[in-house]
Amino acid sequence: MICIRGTLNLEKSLEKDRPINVMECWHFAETTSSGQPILRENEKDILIDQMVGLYHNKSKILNRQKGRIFLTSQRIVYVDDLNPTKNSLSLELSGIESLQFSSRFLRRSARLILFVKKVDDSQVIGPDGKATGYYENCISTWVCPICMMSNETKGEFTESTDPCPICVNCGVAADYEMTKDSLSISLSNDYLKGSSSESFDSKSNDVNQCPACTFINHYQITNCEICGTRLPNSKIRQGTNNEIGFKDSRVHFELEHPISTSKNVNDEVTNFLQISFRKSDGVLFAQATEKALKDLKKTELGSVYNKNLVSVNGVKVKDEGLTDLPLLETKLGKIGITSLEKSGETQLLNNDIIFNNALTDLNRLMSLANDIEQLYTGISPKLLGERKEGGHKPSLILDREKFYNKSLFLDEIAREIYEFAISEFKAEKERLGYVMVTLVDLYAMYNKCMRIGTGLISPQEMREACERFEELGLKDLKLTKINGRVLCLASKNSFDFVKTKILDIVNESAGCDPLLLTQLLNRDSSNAWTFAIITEVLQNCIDHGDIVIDEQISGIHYYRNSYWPVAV
Amino acid sequence: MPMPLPPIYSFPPLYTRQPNSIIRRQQISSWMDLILQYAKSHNAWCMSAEGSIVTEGSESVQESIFVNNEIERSVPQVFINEIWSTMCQEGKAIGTDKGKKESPTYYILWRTVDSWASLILQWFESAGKLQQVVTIYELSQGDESIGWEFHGMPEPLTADCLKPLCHRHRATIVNDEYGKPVAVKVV
Repeated sequence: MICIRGTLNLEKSLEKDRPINVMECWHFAETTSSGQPILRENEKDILIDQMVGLYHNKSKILNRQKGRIFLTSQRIVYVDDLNPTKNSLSLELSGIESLQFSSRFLRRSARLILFVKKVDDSQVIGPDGKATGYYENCISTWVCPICMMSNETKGEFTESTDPCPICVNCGVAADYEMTKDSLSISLSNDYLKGSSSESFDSKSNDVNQCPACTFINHYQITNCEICGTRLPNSKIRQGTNNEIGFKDSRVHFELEHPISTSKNVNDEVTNFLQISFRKSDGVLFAQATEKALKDLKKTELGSVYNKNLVSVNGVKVKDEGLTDLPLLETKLGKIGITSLEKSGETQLLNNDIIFNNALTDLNRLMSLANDIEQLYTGISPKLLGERKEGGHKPSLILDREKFYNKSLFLDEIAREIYEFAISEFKAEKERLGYVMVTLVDLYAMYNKCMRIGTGLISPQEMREACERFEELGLKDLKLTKINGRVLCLASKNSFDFVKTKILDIVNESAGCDPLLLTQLLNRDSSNAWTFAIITEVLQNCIDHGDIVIDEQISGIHYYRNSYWPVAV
Repeated sequence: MPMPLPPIYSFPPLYTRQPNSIIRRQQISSWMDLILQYAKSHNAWCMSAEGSIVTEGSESVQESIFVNNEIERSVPQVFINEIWSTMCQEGKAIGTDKGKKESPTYYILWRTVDSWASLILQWFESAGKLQQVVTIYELSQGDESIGWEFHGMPEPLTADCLKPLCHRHRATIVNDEYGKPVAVKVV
C-alpha cells in the first residue's frame, strides 16, 4: 500500500499537526432531495437500515444521530433523516480494514465497529527526502465573499493565517469565517509530480489507469469515468486525497467529545468508527457489510489486467489445461490395425481430456453457486420471518432487495415516487409552478419506468407510499382528493390554479368542448394537464355552479354560468 | 304583438338538464318565466306538452317553445316533463286532464288562480253583475268582458278560477245535469 515510510518522529510530528486526519475517511454523500443517496455508476445497493447514529472513535458525531444507512457495493452511506442533503456522509468500503460487531447489551444498542485502514503519513516526502510541510506546497482556493471572485492562494488558508490573503479582484483581505465554506485546498500540481516520481515505485503507478478499459483517469477519481469500474490504484488517490489534504468543504461535522491532540498521540491512533443501531439489532447489516468487504477484496484480487486474454499477437498467453497435456497425434501415421487401434486410443484420450475440462468448469460454476446460496441462506431466514408479518412479497426497489418490514419498504418507495414525480414533471413545475397528476397516471408511469424488472408495486402500496410524503418531510407534492373521489398528486394550490385557468378559457371561448379546452390549456406546454385532471376540474366547476353544460350528440360543451347565480 | 324572448333563450346550456341541482332549479324557473312570458305575449291559454300553443278549434301545428331553431337546440322530453310538473306544483300551470300526473295539454297561468279570481270579482263589481246568474261562457267569451285580461279564457279554466270565490262564499257555481259548471252567481 505505502511505498516509502518516513521516520517515526516524522510520523508523530505530522500526527500532531493534523490530529483529525482520520476524519477524512468520511466523505460527503450526494443525496436526492427526497433523501435517497445518488449511487455511482456500477454501484449497487445491498441493504438499508433505519435509525442509526454515527460515532467517531468513541464520541458521537453531532447531528448524525438519526438517519438511515445504506450498504452499497462500494460505500456505506449515511443519510440523515433531518437534513438529508447536507448532513449525509459516506464511507468507502475500500477504506475499511476490518469490522467488529457488538450486539445489544442492556441499554447499549448494537454497534458495528469499523476499523479504518491506517493511512501512513510518511508518504509525502519532499524532493530532498524530508517531509516537507505540505501546507506550504498546497494551494487554497477560496471565493471572495464580496466580489465572488475565486482566488488561489499559496499555502493552506486557515483561521490562523496571518496576514489574510487579499482578493485579486477587489483587493479586500478575506475573512476566514466568511470564506470557509468555499474553501478547498489542494496540492499544487508541480509538487505532486515531483513527489510522486520519487515516492512511488514505478512511473506506471502514478497514473490512475482503469483496469477494465485502460482509460487514464484523474488521480483523485475513485471510479473510472468511462466504465465506472472501481479503480484499484488507491495509493495514488490516498496519496493525494487523504494525505496532501484535499478537503471537501461540504463535510462539516463536530464531535461530542473532540479528540484532543495529545491523547491521540498516546493512544497510538486507533482509528475506528461506529455505527449504532437504535432500532434493529444490526446483525444483518453487519453480516452484509462483512460480506461486501470480502467480496470487494475478492474482486480487487481478481481484477487482473486483461484477465480473460487468450492470446497476444497469436501467441497463447495461458498455457494450461489442454496444452499441458502431451500433444495428441490424431493423424493416422501408419496403416493397418495397429494404427487404427492407436487412433482409437488417442480418440479416447482426447475425449477424456475434454470431459475433464468440462468437469472442472462445472465445479467452478458449482462453487460460485454455493457462494450465492450461502449469501442467500445467510440473509433469508430474517427476511422470511419479516415477510410473513407484513404478508407482503418483498418487492425490489432498483436493486434494493432487503427490507426489514413493509413500512420501511414503503418509506423507501415513497421517496422514490416523490423523486420520480418531481423529475418527471420538472418542466411543468418550472414553467407553471404547479404540478398535478392523477395517482392512476402516476402509478402507470412509475411502474413502467421504474419498476420493470424489480417487481411492480400494487396500487395500494402506491397510495400508502404517497400518504407518507408528509411524514418523510417531502413537502412539494401532496396527495389530495378532488371531488371526493379522485386521488391526485398535486403541488400546493395547483387545483385552484388550473380551475381559474379553465374558467378563463371557458369565459373566453364559450361553448368549448373538452378537446378544445385541453388544447387551449396545453397551448404552451405539451400535456402539462392530463385529460383526467381537466375532467375532474370541470366536474368540480359544475358542482360549484361555475360552469353549465350543453349536452349534444357531438359532446358536452361548457359555458360560464352567467344566468343562474349560485346562492351563497 | 308577441314580445321577443329574452337573451337567455339563446343560451345553449338552457336546453340541457343541468347536473347541479341548485343550478337546475334556477334553470327550471328560467323556463317557467319563459313559458309564462311566451304564453302571455301570444295570449295563449293552453299549451301542449310538447310546448306549442293550442288554440281551440284549430289544430294547426305551431313551433314549440322548447325548440330553438336559431341555435339548433331542443329540450329533451324528459326534461320538458320535469318543467311541466314543477310548473303544476307551483301553480303556474294546470293539466287539462284532471287527476293525471302528465297530461297532453296544460293551461298556463301567468297570473295565479287567486289573482284571476279577484280580477273576475272586480269585473262582477264594476259591471254590476252582482247577485245575478252569469254563465261561464258569458263571463269568458261574452262581449261584456272584452278588454279584460281574462277574456278568451277557456271555460274549464274559468270554472277553476272561480273556485277560490266559492271557498270565500262569494260565489255559487251552477252545474248542469252532467256536473259541468255552466253558470256562476257572485254575491
